[in-house]
Amino acid sequence: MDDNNSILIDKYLSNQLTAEELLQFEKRMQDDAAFKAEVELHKDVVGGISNYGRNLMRAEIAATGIAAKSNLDNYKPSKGGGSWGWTLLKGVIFLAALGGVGFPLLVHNDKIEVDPHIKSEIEQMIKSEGGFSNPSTAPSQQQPTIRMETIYHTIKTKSVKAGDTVIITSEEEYKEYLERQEKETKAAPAQ
Amino acid sequence: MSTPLTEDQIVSLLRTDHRLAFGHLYRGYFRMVEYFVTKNSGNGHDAEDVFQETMLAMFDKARDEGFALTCTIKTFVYSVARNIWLKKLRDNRVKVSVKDFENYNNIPLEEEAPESDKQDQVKTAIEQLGEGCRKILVLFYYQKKKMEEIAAELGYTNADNAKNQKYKCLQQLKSKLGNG
Repeated sequence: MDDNNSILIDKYLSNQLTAEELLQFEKRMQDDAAFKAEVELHKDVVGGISNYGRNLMRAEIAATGIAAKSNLDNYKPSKGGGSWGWTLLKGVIFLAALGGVGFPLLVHNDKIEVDPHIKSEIEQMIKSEGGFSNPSTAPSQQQPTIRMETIYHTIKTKSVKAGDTVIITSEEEYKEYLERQEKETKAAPAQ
Repeated sequence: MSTPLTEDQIVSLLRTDHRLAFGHLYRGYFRMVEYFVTKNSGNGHDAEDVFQETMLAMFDKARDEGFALTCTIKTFVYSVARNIWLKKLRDNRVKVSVKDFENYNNIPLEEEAPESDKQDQVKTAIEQLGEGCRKILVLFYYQKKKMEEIAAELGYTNADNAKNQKYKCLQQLKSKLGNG
């Protein structure tokens, strides 16, 4: 086998032959048993090298893990377990303006029609970890940057009224929010 | 404290300096994966395994030139880890109702070729090669590095020399496998 064959077979195995080259290649395999055997051997060898390389890589990764152990970022889930997820929209969304991100006011409940523009912005924020990642990694990440920390802060320190922004992204926060609302309602008797 | 890398930087780092990339990923996302695994019937040891396999899968994907992230790294790590852990649970016939803590995408896992007898023989043969040969073959066939990169990494004067060397090593390996 010469180097050209080797290069050709490499191309074949990595799907880099043109349609015409591929036809020729397959025809040659049919007609030439020795060539076919070469291809098979090459395939086994390349597969074996890949597995070998992958196992070396596993060892490297394990070593990196041990080295990184003492210096891991904390983690705070972006959302609660199970069913919560996109029930965000069915749940509670109060929006107005927070940290320079302007939204018109939306009031909660299941039936509310969410402005598609806002919906997509929220989706975008939720998808972008810059939106809701844990506080220790968030600052330099992508915009729009609304950090979980800020949201917590908003829930905990401010009364929610028109013009405030609270985006609830987890079940825990939702419960916390409801409790707070309840307290406030008791403190300020209904008219 | 280092500054967090951007998404693109992580992907290109996986291609150019994977050790550094793994370090960043471990630091940034290990706890997230650990949380997911331990909340879904796994223990700390499982979490480490899952994280390692996740890094490996990310490395494998990043090797492909056509690969581009279509979501954030965080979502990507979470999605791959989630897939790996759920597959393991399925393989062990453990049924769980999955608790999720992040958004995820459907990112298919590459099936690793099962180790056949033939591959065992190849492995033994590879171990008999000199270190230089093992390195060049792994860099080319597993890490899918370009000849220019390999030449630079292993100190060959140019890509052609590296290419010739690779060919010789491959021949050596094949000859160790006897008549195939």
